[in-house]
Amino acid sequence: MSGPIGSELEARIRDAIGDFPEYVLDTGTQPRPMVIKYMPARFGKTYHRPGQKLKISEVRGFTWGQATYVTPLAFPLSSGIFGRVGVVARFEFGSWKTFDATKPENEQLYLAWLQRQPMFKDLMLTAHSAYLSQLLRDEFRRKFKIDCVLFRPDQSNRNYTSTRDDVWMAVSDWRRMPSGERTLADGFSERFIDPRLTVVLEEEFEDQMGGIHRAGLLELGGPRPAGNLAEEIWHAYNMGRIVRIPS
Amino acid sequence: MNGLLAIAAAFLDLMTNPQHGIEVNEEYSLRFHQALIDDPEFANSFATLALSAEDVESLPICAWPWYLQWRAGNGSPPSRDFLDALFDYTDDPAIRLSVVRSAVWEEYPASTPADHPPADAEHRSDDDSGDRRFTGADPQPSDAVAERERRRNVQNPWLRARTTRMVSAAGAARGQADASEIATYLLQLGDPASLESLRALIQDEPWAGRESVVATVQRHIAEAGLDRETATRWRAQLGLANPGGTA
Repeated sequence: MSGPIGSELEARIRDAIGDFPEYVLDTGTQPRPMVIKYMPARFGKTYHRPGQKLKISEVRGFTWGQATYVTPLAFPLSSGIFGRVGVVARFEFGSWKTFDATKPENEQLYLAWLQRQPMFKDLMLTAHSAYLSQLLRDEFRRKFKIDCVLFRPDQSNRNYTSTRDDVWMAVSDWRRMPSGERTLADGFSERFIDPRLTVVLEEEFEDQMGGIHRAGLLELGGPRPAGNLAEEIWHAYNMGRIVRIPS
Repeated sequence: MNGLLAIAAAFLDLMTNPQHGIEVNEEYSLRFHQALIDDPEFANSFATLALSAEDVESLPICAWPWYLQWRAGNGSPPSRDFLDALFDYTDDPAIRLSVVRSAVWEEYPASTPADHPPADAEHRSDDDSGDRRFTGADPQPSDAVAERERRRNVQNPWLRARTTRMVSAAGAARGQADASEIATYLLQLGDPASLESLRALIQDEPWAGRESVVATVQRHIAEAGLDRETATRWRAQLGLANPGGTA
């Protein structure tokens, strides 16, 4: 689903899509190809059993459209605002084609592409922006065969999330349509290996400002685990233990 | 009314209506996909529901784009009558875009159901070379309509029926607006089947909406900021004249 764009812009976008950058995996000790996904407790408990898969988010309102939203383990609490249960999984990024939208120049490329879409006016000037925005973001990823988008958090709590420094990931799963066309898959992701419930947060959050801010309900100000939390979670994952994080 | 849809309506509202919030939408999306895994027969029956025009109000309107997209990947598109009724039910571009996408995909070669006749089989003679035989009598009005239909380029049955109605409403502002709107959707979809349909609309013999379609597509190409070579290629692909020359 993509209208005409100039060859120069298309070439610049293709040039901006590169290998998965390992630096976002660095836990301070070494790169760990692992992610964490926080979710409400009622979903999280199923990941205490082996054989589960992470769910692809497909409803409207997700930043980069239909994808599996995770955070590199190097940012162990960044997305804790979405639920009390942190599910950790391994992944093999291999030849993932990655669009790094944490770079302002790449954000500009996406915006330039968006502005040239035939339905851009509908996106900006009607009440249908959420749905059309999702369609267009999906199409941008599909057209350029993007396996992973890296982006800055767009929802936050100052004790957990840095909108300036943290990196979140939207990861594509692919499937073939009956027509043979490659499209984004729904259902459960095949990208992540052995997801396990590994972190439990004490804090509970609720939306403020329509979800832009996630306010802590307890904010007891308890001590954070000393040392390198990402490494502690990595060890806990491998040992089958659970890390508990005070509010 | 389809009984399964009647029962599913409340569930799908919780899954697709943004008013319930992402967390609720996601919870029901998770339940839905779990049900698909647990009961493959359910998936099959839900993807092939027979829908008629009367079923348009069976689901909350926000559920239809999701359902049409999901169904396109898991079954075959619903009937043309249903798609037509849904298109007419609302002016919402998100819904209308999803209808056009379903309608166009229906005829995409690899997915064309075996029981569907070729797009205009009922109109096409064995000798379709364009050499019209003299019958010795002026055609009656019904013959004239049939003759006009026979000469049309538009193969997609949904698009053909809809534009035929535009022809019958020649000069009506509504027909012009619909033609322009459909052209925008086809250009936005941008897949081979959509562009082929758009080209057919442009190349069709003069019909009430053709001028509007041509103007709309020329405007989008002009506003897309394309380099000359890309713009020329797009116009040639769609059968449009280039400024200062011919296609």
